[in-house]
Amino acid sequence: MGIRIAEKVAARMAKIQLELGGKNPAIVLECEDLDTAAQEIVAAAFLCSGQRCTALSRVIVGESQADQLCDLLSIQIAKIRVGNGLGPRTTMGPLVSQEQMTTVVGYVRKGLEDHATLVVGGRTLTEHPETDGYFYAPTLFDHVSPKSGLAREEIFGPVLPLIRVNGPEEAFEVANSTRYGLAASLFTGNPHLVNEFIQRVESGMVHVNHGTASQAHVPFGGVKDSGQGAFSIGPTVKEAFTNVKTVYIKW
Amino acid sequence: MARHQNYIAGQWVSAQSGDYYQSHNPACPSQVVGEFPRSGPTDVDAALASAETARATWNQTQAPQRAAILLRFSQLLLDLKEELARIITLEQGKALCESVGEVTRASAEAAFAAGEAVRLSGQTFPSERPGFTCYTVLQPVGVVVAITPWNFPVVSPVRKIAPALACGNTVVLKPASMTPWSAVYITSLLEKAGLPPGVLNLVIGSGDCGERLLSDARVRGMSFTG
Repeated sequence: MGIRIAEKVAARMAKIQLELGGKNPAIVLECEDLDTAAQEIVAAAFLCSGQRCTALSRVIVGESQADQLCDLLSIQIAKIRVGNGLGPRTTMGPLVSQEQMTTVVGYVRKGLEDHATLVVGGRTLTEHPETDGYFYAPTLFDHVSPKSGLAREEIFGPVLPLIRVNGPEEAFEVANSTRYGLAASLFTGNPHLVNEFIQRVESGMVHVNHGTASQAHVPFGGVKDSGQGAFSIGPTVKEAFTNVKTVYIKW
Repeated sequence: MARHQNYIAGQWVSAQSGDYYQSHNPACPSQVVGEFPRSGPTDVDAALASAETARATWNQTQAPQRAAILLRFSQLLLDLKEELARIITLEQGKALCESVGEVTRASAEAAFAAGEAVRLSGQTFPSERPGFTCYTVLQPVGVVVAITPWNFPVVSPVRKIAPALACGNTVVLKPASMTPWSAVYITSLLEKAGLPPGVLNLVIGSGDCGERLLSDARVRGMSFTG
């Protein structure tokens, strides 16, 4: 969709600003506070039922910490209260439509066919979504292949795949292996990895030791298939909505 | 259940066809949250003509005046955040606490954009020839189209409209057809904040409207999220 829009608008030489999808990784390596990491990851993954372009939508974790992180993620997910958004205790509402529900159901089915391990969720929460609401259980998969659809495609729903890797090299390679480049998080206690992450991850926005929360005056945008044109929010947005005029005056 | 309208040239108007569609609550899909105009090419043309006409005066408005309107809009968002948050939750589904956060964030972004109106500065350059002054200025691109998604029905339109207006552009907003109510509300707040007629135009409808907006020569800037 974004590429088609870009082509049409470019043909008229008009300015364009595109904010598109993401498959945003949370990389967890040599992390000293896995409990906080799990809280941050779950918040960023399931806010808005995962229907955010900047949602953390895959976890890439070093094998040595994977079991513990998986348990902690499950504990945090169990705290999510799904229901009507107007309910006072609700922390996660429904998906927006039957179409979104069908997409999520399809990805979960495919994940199971690909032999990923379903840890929690993986089901609709109403028998008749078309009348009772498009509620879907927050879902976590473990042992997801980095080449699978769950790991590489934007689901735009409450489904979090966990990919196990052997060290930083593989983690960065997997992180960069999708067509997207919007946001990425690293959870670590190793400052050397922070520098590596900032340098090497192909992403418009990078976050260290927190989820993918942006701020109201700081540039926001993506690279690769995640966006084109000036970053929105903050001072960069002026580039999207103005033209430079150069003036020479001889007087 | 309310029936809502497009906003073109400072008037709340139905689609030329007179047709409406119903929008539903995703937490209870049998509940209709509102009726919205099913706009077509004629409505898009009217919105673009309005934006094109308003361009000549809006881009001559002094920057502090544009900033003042956006600051009033930012404050209105805060004043009415509970009401607008409820609309977000009804048409989009997200938890009310998230919707309140979205409106608060939209207010902050509008306030920042207001400040940018008075920071539209260029650069000066030393000349290689005597007697010359060389500098740059920033000028509005003209008519800007904002096409916005259903997942953030308040913050996404505000993120586009506010800076586009701050920079002196006029705007046609085409919100996602699943979440048009929030866009109607935002537009009414900008009207209350004192935005002159034609500077922001709202066209509600399906993707066909977006297609039309993509290909019209009057559109000099396009901001799309999806």
